[in-house]
Amino acid sequence: MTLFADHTYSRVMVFIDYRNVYEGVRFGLEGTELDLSRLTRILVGDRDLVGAYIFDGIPKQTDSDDHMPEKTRAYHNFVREQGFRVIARESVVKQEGKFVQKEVDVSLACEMLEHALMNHFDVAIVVSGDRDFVPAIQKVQSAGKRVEVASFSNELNQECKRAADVYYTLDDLPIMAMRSPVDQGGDARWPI
Amino acid sequence: MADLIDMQRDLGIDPRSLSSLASKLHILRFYLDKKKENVVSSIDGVIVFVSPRYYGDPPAIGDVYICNVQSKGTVYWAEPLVKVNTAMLIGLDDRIKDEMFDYLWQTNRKEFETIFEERYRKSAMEAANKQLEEQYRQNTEDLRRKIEELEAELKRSRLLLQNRVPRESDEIELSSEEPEPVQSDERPQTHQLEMQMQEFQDLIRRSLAQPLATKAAGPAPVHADRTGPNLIRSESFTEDRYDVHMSPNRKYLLVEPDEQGEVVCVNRTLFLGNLESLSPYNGPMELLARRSDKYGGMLIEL
Repeated sequence: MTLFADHTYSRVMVFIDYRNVYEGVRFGLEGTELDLSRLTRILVGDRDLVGAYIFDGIPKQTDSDDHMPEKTRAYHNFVREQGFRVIARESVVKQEGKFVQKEVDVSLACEMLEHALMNHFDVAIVVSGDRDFVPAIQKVQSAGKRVEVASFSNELNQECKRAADVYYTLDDLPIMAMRSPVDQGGDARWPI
Repeated sequence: MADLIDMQRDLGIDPRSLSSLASKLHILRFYLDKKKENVVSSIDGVIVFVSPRYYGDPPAIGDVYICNVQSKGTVYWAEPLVKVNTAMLIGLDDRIKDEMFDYLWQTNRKEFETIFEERYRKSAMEAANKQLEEQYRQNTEDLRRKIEELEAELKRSRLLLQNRVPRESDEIELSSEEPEPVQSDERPQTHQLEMQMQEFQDLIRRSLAQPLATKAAGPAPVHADRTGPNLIRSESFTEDRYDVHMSPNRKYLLVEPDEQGEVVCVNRTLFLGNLESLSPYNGPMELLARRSDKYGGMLIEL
C-alpha cells in the first residue's frame, strides 16, 4: 500500500534503461521476447502517458560475424515504431573482456531532470535497478515530482529501491511475449 | 349475335317492335379506321359508322357498346345504346353475361390473345427471373462456404508443413556412402521438436474429427487446463489467435484475444512454443485462472 493515489490526469513519463532490463530476462526465458510496450502500459495504467524513452548503447562492429550494430539498430527502429523515443549512444566499449556502456546512464538522468524542471510530467517511472540513478531521482523529487522505480529483483540495488516513492517488481508482470512455433527466426524483433 | 331480348325493359324498347329491333342490336367494339379519321366498328367485315343522328357521347377507341344497327344500302349505321363496362355487366344475369362474353371473345379474339399473352409473358418472366436469382444466391452462398472451409484446411496444412521436421527417410541417397550419424548434442533438440510436432498433429487430427465448438455458446466460465507440455485449453478461448505473455518468474500467463496475435488457437487450445522448457509438464492438470481487471484478459497461474 503506497502513500500516493493514482489519478488519470497524472502526466507520466517513462525512462527505460534497456541494458539493465534486458539483463534481467536474458537467461532462462528462451523462446520468449521482452515486450516493452506491454511493460510500459502496465506500469502507466490509466494515467496519462506523455512520453516513453529507451536509453541504450550501440556496440561497435567486432571481428566476429554477429552483426551486432545492425541488429541493435533494427531493434531500435522496431521500438520506435511502437512509439518509444530511443536515445542511443554509440559508446559501448570493451573493458576486461566484456562490453560496457558509457554515457547511457547520464543521458537518462539528464533527460529526466530536464523534463522535470520544465514541468513536462508529474510522475517519472524509471525502469532500472541501477544505483547510479539515485542522485537524479532525488533531484527530480526535489523538483516536486514523484519518482517510481521498476526493476527485476535480480538487477535491483536496494539504495535505488529506497530512493523511489513507489517501487514495482517486474518479476510478476506478464511482459514476456510467447508465440506458437510458426515463424521463429532471427528477425529484428528478438532482443540481442 | 347475342340474345338481348331480355334487355328490353332497361332500354325502354317497345315490345311490339321487339323482333325486328332485337335482330338489329349488336355488340360493337369501336376502333380507328384505316384513314385514321373516324371511329368505326364492323360486322362480318362490313364497316359500321356511328349514326349522324346520334347525339350522345361519341364512342371512343376501344369502347364496347350495345348498338342499334340499321343498314342503308351497303352502309351500316349504329346508334350506341349502352356502353358495356364492368358496372353494366354486374347488373346482367349470368346467361346474358356468358353470351356477351362469348360474342366479345369471338369477335376480338386475336387482340385479346395478344394482350393476355403479353401480360402472361411478363408475369412468367418475372417469376422465372426471381427463381433464377434465388438459385444463384443459394449457389454463391454454398460456394463461399466451401471456399472458407478449404482455406481453413489449407491454413492447417500449411502450419503442419512449416513445422515438419525433416526425417532421414526424406533424403535421397545418391552414393554408397553411409549417412553421417547425428551429433549427440543435436539429438535432444530434434527429439523435442518431433514430440512437439506429434503433439500438434494429434491436436489437429482430433479437432478435424470433431465439430468445432461454436462461438454462439455464450460467455464461458473462466477455467483453464494444461492438456499437454505446450498446450493450454479453456472454454473461453474462442478466437483464432491470442497474445500470450508470461511473467519473468514463470508463474503467470496473461492471455488476450488478438487478431494478429502470435499464438495460434485451435479448438479452444493454445499451442505455446517452449512452455515445457519454462514450466515443466507433470501431466494434465487444472490451472487457476481468473479475469484480470488490472491487465485485461485472462490471468492463469502455472
